[in-house]
Amino acid sequence: MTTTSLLHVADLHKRYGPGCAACAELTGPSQGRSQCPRCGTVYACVAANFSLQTGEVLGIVGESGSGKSTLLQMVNLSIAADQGQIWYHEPGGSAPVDLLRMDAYAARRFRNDRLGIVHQRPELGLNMHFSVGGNVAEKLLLAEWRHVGRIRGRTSELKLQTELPPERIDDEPYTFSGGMLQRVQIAKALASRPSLLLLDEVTSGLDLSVQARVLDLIRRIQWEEQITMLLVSHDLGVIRQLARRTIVMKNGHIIEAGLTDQIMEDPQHPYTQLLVSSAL
Amino acid sequence: MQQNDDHLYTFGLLDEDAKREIRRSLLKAVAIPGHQVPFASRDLPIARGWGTGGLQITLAIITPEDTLKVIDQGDDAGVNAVNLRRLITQTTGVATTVATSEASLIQTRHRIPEEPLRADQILVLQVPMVDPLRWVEPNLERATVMHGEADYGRMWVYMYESVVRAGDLRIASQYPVMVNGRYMMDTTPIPRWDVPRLDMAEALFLFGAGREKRIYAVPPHTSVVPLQFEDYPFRTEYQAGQRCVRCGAENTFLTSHFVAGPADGGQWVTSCSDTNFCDQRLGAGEVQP
Repeated sequence: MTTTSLLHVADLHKRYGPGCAACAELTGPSQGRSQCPRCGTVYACVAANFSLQTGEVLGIVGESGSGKSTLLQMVNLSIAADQGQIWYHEPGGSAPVDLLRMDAYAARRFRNDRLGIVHQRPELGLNMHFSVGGNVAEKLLLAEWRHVGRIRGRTSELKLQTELPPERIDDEPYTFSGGMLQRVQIAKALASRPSLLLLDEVTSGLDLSVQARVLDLIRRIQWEEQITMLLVSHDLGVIRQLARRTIVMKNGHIIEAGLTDQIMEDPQHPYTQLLVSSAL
Repeated sequence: MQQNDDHLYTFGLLDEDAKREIRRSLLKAVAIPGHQVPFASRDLPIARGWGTGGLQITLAIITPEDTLKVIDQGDDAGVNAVNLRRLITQTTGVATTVATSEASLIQTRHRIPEEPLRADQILVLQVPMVDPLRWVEPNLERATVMHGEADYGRMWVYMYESVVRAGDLRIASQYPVMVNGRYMMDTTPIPRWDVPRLDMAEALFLFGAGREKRIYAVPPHTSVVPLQFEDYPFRTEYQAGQRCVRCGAENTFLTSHFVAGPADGGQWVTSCSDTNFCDQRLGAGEVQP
């Protein structure tokens, strides 16, 4: 782990199933599958290693089922890893801590205070029974904010930052469009000023003009706040616009990693070459 | 119960194994204030919802030396109180009282007596709904995880939305509290007036929910803090000018009821919810109506 790394993921594994002696041979990118045909075990993430520098945007790209969202959810501490370490080094803080060694209570605190996540499906990130303002306030309330006036003030700030209409702060989420809901999720994720923002297919399912506006918003926020981001997408165009470095995943394995421009211009792995050529 | 039927019942109706199991759950509940402890709620000769949880606790801890008081909404003569008292006395033979200060064990439905409780007294509360998170998370499994991780953000959002939409904290009873800075607890349908009495009290409070098969407790000298905001603090019910029509008290929890009159058709009046407290004031001549 380098001294400026915010996050260092080492040898992270996640599988669903008991595993068997033939798994290693029968799964992986070379076999073109992540599920063992003998025992049925699915290898969602195998020996993932990467570092994330403070202020950096790292993209994770791959087809559906390649394990990128599983990797993101493990970093978000919402899926338990089978083995490995996730070292987190607080900027200007003390020694790095392994997030996977935290108990459930500490993990919940860490997730609320240090992480922000934007899901592909808004209903995963928002409570549809609460107002938009209430949803954004949840992060603040969990961070022990206990002054309604100050919470309203911070919520209004976030509304402006994410270009949400302030007069609709108390409306229910189901009255908002898909693009607006992504903005609400972004506002909620930013509420507690997290060190790391996790973005999981944030523009999937949005039409192109809305997609462009959401990407502009993310880029502007990253520029203004210098926030570290981990961005998951199956769309190389999205990755190219936002990420400085990129990881390519296939069948649960990281098959290529490097600068985004380098990967786009000179892909090494045959799968990456296919991905780039199909995106062009 | 007829005298010749006595041998049919064990002391306190429940069998000894049942009482032992309840007492073990009570010990755990006292050790982890505010934490809901499951217990094997038994069938009783009263219906679920009539205080079977509180009754089982009382029957499990009562001793022949105890003096029992049973109240229903502060009233010693309420239907629920009269029937539970009869069942307990007929199966234990313990002495009963209506005076709070004389009781060693008090079973109550939805009130805490006005008179401050002592360290040698135990208050057993009947609980209809155990979990304060029920309002925001109906799935019991998820709510249990939320308690485990102290993940109470959603409940705070519920309170926040209450302020934003209604202009104030609009929870009349079952006010949620944080116990010992760790667990969020439902205060049963006691009015907000009684909530501060739980904080750093001398007495032991035991809560039993028969239908939901849960026990929880607030031991003596434990912090119990209602959920509140700095700019919207928790407040008890109080209406200036209201006083008890019998004893004239203004500093007790008052209930209103309609009194029919011969000429004008009657009027609404307020009186002390705690009837024993009211009677004592009248008896002592402290305040004239």
